[in-house]
Amino acid sequence: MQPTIVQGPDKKIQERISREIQEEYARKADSLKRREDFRKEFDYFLEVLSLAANPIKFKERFNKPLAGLYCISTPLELFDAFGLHPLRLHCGLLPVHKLSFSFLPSTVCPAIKSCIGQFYADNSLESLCEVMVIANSCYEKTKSLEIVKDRIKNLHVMQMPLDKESEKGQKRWIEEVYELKKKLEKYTGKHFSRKGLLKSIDKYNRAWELFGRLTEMKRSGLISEVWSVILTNAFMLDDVDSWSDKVSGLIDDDKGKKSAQEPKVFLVGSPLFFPYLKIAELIEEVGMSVVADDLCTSERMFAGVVYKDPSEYGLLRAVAERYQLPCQCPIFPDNSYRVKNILETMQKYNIKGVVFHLLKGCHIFDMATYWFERLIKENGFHFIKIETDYSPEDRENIITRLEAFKEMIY
Amino acid sequence: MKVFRIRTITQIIFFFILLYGSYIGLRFMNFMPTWACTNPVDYSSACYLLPMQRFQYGLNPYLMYSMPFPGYFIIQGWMAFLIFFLYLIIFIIIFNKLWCGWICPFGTLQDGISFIRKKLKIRETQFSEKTKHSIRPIKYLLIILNFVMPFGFAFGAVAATPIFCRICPVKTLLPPLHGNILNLTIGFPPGVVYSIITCIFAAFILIMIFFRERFFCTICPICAMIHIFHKSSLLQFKKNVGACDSCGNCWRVCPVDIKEVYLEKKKENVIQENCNLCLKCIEACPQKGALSIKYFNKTIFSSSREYLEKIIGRKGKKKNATDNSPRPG
Ligand code: SF4
Ligand code: SF4
Ligand code: SF4
Repeated sequence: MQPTIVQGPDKKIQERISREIQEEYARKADSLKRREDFRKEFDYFLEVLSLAANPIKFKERFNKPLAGLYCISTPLELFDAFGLHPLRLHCGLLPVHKLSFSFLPSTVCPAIKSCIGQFYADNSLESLCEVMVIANSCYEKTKSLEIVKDRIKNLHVMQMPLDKESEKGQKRWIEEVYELKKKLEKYTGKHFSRKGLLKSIDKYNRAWELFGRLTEMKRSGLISEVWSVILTNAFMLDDVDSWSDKVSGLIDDDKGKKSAQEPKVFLVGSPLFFPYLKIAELIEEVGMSVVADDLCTSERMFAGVVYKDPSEYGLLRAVAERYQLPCQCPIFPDNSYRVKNILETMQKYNIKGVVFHLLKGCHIFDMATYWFERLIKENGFHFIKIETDYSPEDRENIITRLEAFKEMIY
Repeated sequence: MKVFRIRTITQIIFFFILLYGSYIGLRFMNFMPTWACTNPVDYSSACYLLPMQRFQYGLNPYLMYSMPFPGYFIIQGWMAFLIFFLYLIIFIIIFNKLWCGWICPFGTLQDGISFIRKKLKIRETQFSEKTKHSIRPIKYLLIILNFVMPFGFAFGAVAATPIFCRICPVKTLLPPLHGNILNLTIGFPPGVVYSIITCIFAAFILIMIFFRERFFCTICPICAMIHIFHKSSLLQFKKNVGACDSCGNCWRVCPVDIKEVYLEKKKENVIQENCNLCLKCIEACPQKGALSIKYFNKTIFSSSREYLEKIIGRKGKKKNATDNSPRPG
């Protein structure tokens, strides 16, 4: 047996933190329900998100073995095809931070701190996962799992090639997906079924399509960035069919046309994890609207799977490439498509500026800001970088800066 | 109606017209740059390569001796060549490579073979970049064979059949559909050696087509000839690089495995030498206006998420997957 590297906190602290987590979810849900643009349909998504604080209920509800995934590059369709319930482990909770303070460097990004903290929280979703898979997009996150490896049942690491446009990088990633398939066969004792994968592809393609509608609604101001992120965060935990059913209900209801509040901005940078929605909320608070983003927990999460070869290889290749080729994670040394895309969207939707959200300690995103800022400005748009973390302390400061930014672009 | 349906219907119609049209009096003869072999005499259209090779007759010493006046065959041969070359240019200006993806009966036959492979869920063979690279010169070599070799042969004893036709696999594979199995036998004109080479070549091509979609198109000299003049066409295939999100769909669905369209980050004109303008990439591209087909600089079909959704997204309806669901592949 592996020796335990770090002891979890004692019972009393556990209980206190568990209470704090429940309270934070409840507080957040309450404040969101008081928003003017709240619709009763959103209740469903808030409920799914709050299940993260109640793992036993979560397990009962989905009634399938859970596969915990880190990074959006892990192929959901494959887990679904093996009858697992894939959930994207993420955490935007401040209280669990405290659980990781004693064994993580203080400069590590808050997303890693709270993810690791979750492992030590009583009854976390993490403790219920049969399999845990990480695509090593963020090396710090991958490394952090060492601290908790004795608490992980079956950890599998997928190596993400950084040269995704080369034949070598593409071949390697397909091999990784094949390797994952083999591992899942072993864990589940089930044989891979081509038909099963085809069904899963269709399910997720439907979600992709509905998400496209949601994005259109966001572009025209029919849904705010805050709700859009809540919906996509819920997708990370929910069953794909139920999520799609609920989202399609939301979309069918929206008939009227509206236009988004000016000035419109593009939100770029580090991901937002429920209940941490600070930057999106503050942008709204100062009277700007986010009509597009390129966050990996929002617009960058979906891409339909398109294949031409319906053989087993053809489908696996299509799934592998859907998670590799369009991935615009800042870890890649060449992300030129990302900026071109952002500029194109800004021109098309008359978006005036970019708000670059940076979680303190996320050096990769920080490094991306340099040339990103230059290109955005060279093309005649405005740019602001907001560096922050999960704590509410810097709220006023951010508001002041955003207000000045608004003045400048409006 | 979806583009892939219109295309399939067009292909089937042209397949029958070009192969069997003569039964109802349709005779296009050599006007079309397609692989419609002239070997079964009653074809309504014929292969472009045949007249292109004919100009060698003018140089043939045996024929030269029997000409009614000095230079007759030289003039006749070169006239024939120039006229057909003109047809080719006119067709390229009007249609660019639409011929390959929409009309060429041999292309349609290849698509039919791939359709069977897909139904059998047999994996398509992948070629490495290196293999693709080494296949590349073959089609140009075949063009050279067509244009240069006749000079060499013209002054020799062998001149009865145009040089490419001696080894053309289409000559073996298409005529049987027309009820002519002569070219499947050993010893058909122009002789035992060539017929054995042709049959082996044809069998190899057939096997390759089964495992690799449109394999023949990657070595086809007609495709290469059209490509040489493609820039002069009114029909152009364009990419708006700013709209592309590098999803790679265009590459994955491409029957001839063209990766350059997905990789292109600067150029607007993205038609590649093996492209047959099947438009599958435009159908599979989720980004609005990233890929488009333009005629006289007017967009006639361009990519959009809405279009792709109609093919793969099930329009938000819950429905189980079936293998028969339409795919842009
Ligand atoms: S490239 Fe293919 S479709 Fe075009 S002429 Fe050649 S065989 Fe026909
Ligand atoms: S590049 Fe596009 S149009 Fe050309 S052959 Fe490939 S899929 Fe067809
Ligand atoms: S399918 Fe469209 S968006 Fe995707 S790589 Fe090709 S051109 Fe770009």
